[in-house]
Amino acid sequence: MYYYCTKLNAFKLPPLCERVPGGGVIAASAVPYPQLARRSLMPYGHLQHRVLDPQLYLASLDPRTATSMVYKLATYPWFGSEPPTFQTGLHRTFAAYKEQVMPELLHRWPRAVAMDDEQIYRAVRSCLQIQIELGCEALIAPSPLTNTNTSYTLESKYLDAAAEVANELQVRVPVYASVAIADGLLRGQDPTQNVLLQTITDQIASRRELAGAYIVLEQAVDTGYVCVNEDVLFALLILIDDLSRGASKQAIVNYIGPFGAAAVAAGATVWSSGYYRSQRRMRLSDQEEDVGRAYPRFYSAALAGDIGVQLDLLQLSHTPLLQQVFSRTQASRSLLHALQTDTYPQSSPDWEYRPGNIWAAAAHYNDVCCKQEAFFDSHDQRGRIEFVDRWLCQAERLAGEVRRAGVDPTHTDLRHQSIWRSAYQRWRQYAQM
Amino acid sequence: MATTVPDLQQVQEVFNGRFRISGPLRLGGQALVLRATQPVSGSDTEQDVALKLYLDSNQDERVLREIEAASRVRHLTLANLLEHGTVQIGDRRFRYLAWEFIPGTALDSRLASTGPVAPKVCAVVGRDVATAIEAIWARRIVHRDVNPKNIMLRAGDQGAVLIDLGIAKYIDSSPLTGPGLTWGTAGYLSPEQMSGLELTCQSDIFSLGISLQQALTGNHPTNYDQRALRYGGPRTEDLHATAPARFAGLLDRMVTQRPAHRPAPRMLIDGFTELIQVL
Repeated sequence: MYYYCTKLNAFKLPPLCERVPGGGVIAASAVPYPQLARRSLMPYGHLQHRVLDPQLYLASLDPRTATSMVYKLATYPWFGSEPPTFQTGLHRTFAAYKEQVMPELLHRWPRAVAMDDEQIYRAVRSCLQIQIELGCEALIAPSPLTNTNTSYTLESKYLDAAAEVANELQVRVPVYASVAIADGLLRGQDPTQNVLLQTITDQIASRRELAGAYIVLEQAVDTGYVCVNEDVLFALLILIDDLSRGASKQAIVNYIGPFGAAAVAAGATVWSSGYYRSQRRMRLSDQEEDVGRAYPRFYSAALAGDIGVQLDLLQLSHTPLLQQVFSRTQASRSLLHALQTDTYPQSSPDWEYRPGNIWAAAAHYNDVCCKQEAFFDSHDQRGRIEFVDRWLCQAERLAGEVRRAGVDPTHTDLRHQSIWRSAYQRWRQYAQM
Repeated sequence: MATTVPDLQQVQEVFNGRFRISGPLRLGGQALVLRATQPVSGSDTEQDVALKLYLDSNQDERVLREIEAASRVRHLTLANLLEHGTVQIGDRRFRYLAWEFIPGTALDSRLASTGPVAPKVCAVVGRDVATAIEAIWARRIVHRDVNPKNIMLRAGDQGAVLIDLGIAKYIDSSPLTGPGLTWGTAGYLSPEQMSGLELTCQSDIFSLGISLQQALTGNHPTNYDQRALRYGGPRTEDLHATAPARFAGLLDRMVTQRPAHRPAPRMLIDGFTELIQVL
């Protein structure tokens, strides 16, 4: 199932979307809690199946450099900032509330997660309680970011607190444990022998109150839109495989971009993404910098990556490769016409290369992901596994051809395809699938 | 390490009025286990107990662990702790634990005396010990020493009981060993236990799987070679060509290297219960 990952408080899908994702992941950092609690989610079709990512893995953010993000997170009680309740009579507007409470919340921001049992219990309880009140279809228990080689003892305390609270609240929807790992812990190690992975899945598998894991890999090292480390990607697939095939649990994967489709083939039940870079990867430093306005990029399903709109697509439009890499959606129809008639960008202003002009590109990305998901829905796991294998092999071949056609990899993703294909095939060999 | 075994008469004198000693049940490196009876308060009857006398005073921490673990959970598939304390015998102080006496035989003694155990009895052992593992894990306790010596077969093979929580670890407690080191019995340790990792009930499931392979064939699957278990246990079919396929399949999953791929206790209880019906 493909879920849309919300960015900021824009819960709406891009205006030109013709397909509605199966559900949505609302990131806590997208909107302050008082606002989220009072917002009607009825108008958003994709949010009728929703989960809330508590994002405790962002607890170390620096309020001086990630002020806006920290303010929003600090309004949720599990971060330990003790946010004051929003009162209409007192605060009147959310803007006034923000102005009034933000300095204190930033000041109280602990930059650390709860460590002792009682604090952990309170944090987890408040987190699950709020998700129940928000009508989430599944609850995601918070967990700190695992960024050092640990015995997973602290994270296990969060797992136990989640199990305890789920029993106490007699929760009737599935409860997932957050698993947030810095990718540095997964690089340069054979994932099949990585004891951290084994410990994580062991700890989740052994708690029957937990339905599975909500997995986020912090992309601390790679700077691009996508992960380009084979060990990290293979490790992700092993995590999913351990949980789904090994322990009959479920896995939700977010912030891994189109590789989410490979995650689904490996057994994940949900993958979540979105057009913006911040919806495709999780990187702490992304939260701390002013990234400016996005430019349109054309997502090619066949290439499993983006093609630069300004020059590269134009260059390909004069070769037979265009037909092979061009993914057709409602939102990309005008672009194809413009490329075929040499009238880009005049006849396709939605795709003109200028900052902020991303609605068509975002709708296109969404629709391509939804189409891929529709294919998955109509196939069993065996069919998905074979499909992803063919897809990644084809993407690798096309990346080579596009490069040979003279396209520069600066604005077009041409480096990751062989890495993705290799990671995926290593997993297939390992899992004998 | 002082391991002088006290004289039985001295023990009887010390416990006079509280326990009547019948004789020794087992003498190990660290403890002497005696069979005894204890008057039931408020009635004329007596109950059988297994009185465990710790010989090594350096094992205090371990004994306290056992007391803590046993006090946290009571179950039909676990030997229940009735009483504990210290006694002075001669010039030495001994810690003692009085356990519910389980009439029957330890699985290791049974294997030594009559050889392999029928698959159906193995399934009974699997069901009951998995139940015990589930019960202690509900309190986040890992037994860490599941092996045939610590599994009692009730008389008539009507059930099994997991005994000796001596090295059980409550998940919040600090380790008794240094980093990367572990307690347990060589030949039964899970790969993660051997590596000194944080354990869950899935580690006990592995040890149970090895114990059941041994019970089924009458021989330890790797001849107690712990290193041979580093990547998981052997396939049951290779040890016992005629083992029932479903039973062998379940055992194979119990001894896989990756803990998440082993069946959870509840799944095992259900699986063995079904097998008992058909074997």
